[in-house]
Amino acid sequence: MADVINKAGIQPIPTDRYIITGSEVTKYLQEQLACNVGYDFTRWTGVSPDCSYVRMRIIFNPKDIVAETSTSKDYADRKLAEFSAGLMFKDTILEALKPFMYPENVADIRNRPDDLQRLYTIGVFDDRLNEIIQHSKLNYCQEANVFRLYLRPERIIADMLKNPDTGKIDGDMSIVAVYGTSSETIRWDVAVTHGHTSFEGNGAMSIDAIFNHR
Amino acid sequence: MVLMKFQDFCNKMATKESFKEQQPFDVVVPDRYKVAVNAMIENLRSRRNAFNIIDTPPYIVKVFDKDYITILDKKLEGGDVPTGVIYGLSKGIYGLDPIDLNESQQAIIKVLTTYICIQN
Repeated sequence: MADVINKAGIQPIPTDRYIITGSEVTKYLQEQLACNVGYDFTRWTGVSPDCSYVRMRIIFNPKDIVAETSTSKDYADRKLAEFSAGLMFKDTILEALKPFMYPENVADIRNRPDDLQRLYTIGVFDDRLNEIIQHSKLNYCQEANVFRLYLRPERIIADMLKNPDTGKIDGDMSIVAVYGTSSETIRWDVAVTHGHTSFEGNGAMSIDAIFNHR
Repeated sequence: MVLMKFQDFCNKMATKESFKEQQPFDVVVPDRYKVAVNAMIENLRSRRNAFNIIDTPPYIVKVFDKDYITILDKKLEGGDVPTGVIYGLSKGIYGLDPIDLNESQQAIIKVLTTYICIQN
């Protein structure tokens, strides 16, 4: 590593920076799902313009995600008319979607004040949180004949940046900033840092424990 | 960059020799390749029926753009491709023994095996 010139001799943290656009996220998602989706992004601002979250909504054509059945040809159409109750989805789609979906128990977050506060900071609260919870599972919109779902763009971005040879990100990923407001303009500024420089003693004892010793 | 469909790419790159001529297969993935094999399975398993419609992953194209046969030979130090990698990928992605794969499936596994051996 080159000599670092600063008074303290502090070493910089090697960091890779990426600007990732909404269309790149969607293209990657479509490659993972092996089908096309309709989508939109909306930036929700939190306590300050620097703190925000991006809502990602996607819609599917039923033929891309509903499993073929051995029953009558009209089975799927009938079931769709019944608001999709009893329909089977393709295993491969569910398997590919799962890492990018909100957790099944996302509604429990209402009982966790610390997490709610964190979400409030990035602009996810009240009606916004309610709609995430409402659309955290695939559901059918009969009027438009599509399935709809909210996904987690931050999870898709994390997957995009994994090393294909290890299945892991080569460092610690953080979303530094989000720019833009709409599907056409939203982009994430993402940093992946390699190694860390914080001092943690000899690792055998926490700093609390060290100071609690007389 | 326009990418070939993954199945077309593998059909083009893979040798025509059938796995049936390569028996027996080691059923254990060598330690050196375990992480890479598992990562590849996790990455591609859900798309196993869609290789004819998805683009070839750029990281694979990049490896095959070079003189990959020479690089592979050097990596293997003159040895053979470890059949445990072929077996692990075949079971993990398709749930089948290598000898039960059809020609298209074999082409996919051959390309992935080559990629993993070069990268590790």
